[in-house]
Amino acid sequence: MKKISGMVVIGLLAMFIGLVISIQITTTQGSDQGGLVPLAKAQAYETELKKVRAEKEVATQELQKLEDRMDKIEQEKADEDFFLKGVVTDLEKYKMAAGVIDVKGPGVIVTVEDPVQTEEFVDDYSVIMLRYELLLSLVNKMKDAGAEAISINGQRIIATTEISLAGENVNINTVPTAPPYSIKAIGNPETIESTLTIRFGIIEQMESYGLQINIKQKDEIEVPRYSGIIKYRYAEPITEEE
Amino acid sequence: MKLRVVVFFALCVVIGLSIVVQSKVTNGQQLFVSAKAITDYKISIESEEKDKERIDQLIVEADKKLKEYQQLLNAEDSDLQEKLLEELEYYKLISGETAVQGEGVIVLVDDGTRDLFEGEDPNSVLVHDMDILTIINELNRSGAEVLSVNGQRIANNTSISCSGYTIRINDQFFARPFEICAIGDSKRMVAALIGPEGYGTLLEDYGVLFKVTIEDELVIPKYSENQEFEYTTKVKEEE
Repeated sequence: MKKISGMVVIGLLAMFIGLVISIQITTTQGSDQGGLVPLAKAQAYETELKKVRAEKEVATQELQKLEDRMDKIEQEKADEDFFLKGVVTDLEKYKMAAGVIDVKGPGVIVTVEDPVQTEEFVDDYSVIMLRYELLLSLVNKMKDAGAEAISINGQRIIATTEISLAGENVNINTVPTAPPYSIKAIGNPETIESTLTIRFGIIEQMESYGLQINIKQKDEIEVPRYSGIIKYRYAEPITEEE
Repeated sequence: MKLRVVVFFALCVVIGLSIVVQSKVTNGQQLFVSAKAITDYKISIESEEKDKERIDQLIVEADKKLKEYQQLLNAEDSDLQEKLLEELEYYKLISGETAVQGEGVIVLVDDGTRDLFEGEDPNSVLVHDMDILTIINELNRSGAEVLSVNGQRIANNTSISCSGYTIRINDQFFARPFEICAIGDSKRMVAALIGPEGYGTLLEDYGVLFKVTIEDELVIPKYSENQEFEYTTKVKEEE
């Protein structure tokens, strides 16, 4: 009898320890390693992302307001003076070419998503991030098709935009980005789409890596401005004598 | 007999407790989320935050400029005119409509001249548009400010595409060799290209000719075409 009760006590203790360990594991490890994650936790990320996006939206609007007020001053002055009118028109033109204003127009939106993940088959790396040169090539093809303004995940592509793998993320304009990628291009929608979807073209090439691509033609899309401040430290203008 | 009942009871309690604890920890519903999806979320959040910071900086700049405008508005007319002309010069500069000079590097790439191995694809010693794009990307990454390829200024919408034996840049055709000029921190740019993992080293390993030289004074011409926008219009705030 005594022997049995001893075993029972040991058994109980073992169970208890097992339980404690299992709780420890679920509470500490479950947060960031992926796998089965409480729904609430996954939703928290989603809400945080939304919150940050909303904050950015507010900031963008504030900036827009300031720029509008400046534009108004410029316009008022331009209406008074014929010479200034030319200057202001040119100013608008160069600003547009420099990519420092928000623009809109017809075009296409391409979304790129990593291959479907299943519970049995988990990649812990991102295909599109590892093969970021595909993005580089995609953007180049869009420009070739006459795209006038392009952005990737809200980052306007300008002449000195880099797309580079830095550690775990892809930096565009030094801002880290992650999939899904949404590439917007303003231009002739048909031309751009056909250029991309040509047989053995860039889309087919991307799909061969298992990436999920979706192209949509739109009547109007908005492409944000370049959000950095462009300042040359090495390049100096050569003033021409006219 | 009595002991057995007690043990059985204790077991029941432990199991019951464990179920309660488990359900509390997991909070009911669970969702399969891969580690990658979580990192993606985190990076996206970080990305938006950083972008917002940059916009905040732009707001500060815009605010400063607006104040300046308003001050000048009250002052003499010619002051505002001067300011506007100054602005014009700046935007002309950053949109590639001004020729520029400064220190930088010249990268020369040309098709390789070595003999091919038996059955080797000739493409491995030839220069492609992707090579030039990657070199430009690497230069941008290491802080290039202004670039040109074979004398063609790289503007925002410049594409570089292979078409047969030539490469088209800004609607003009060029054949090998290719000369890429970049104004910026020359030491940094050179280091990025010819480092052990640099793209230049990789090209050389393939047998493509690759040469980088540092120049104290580089001149890059202005963009040669008209930058016209047929489809794009400015976004204005709705009233």
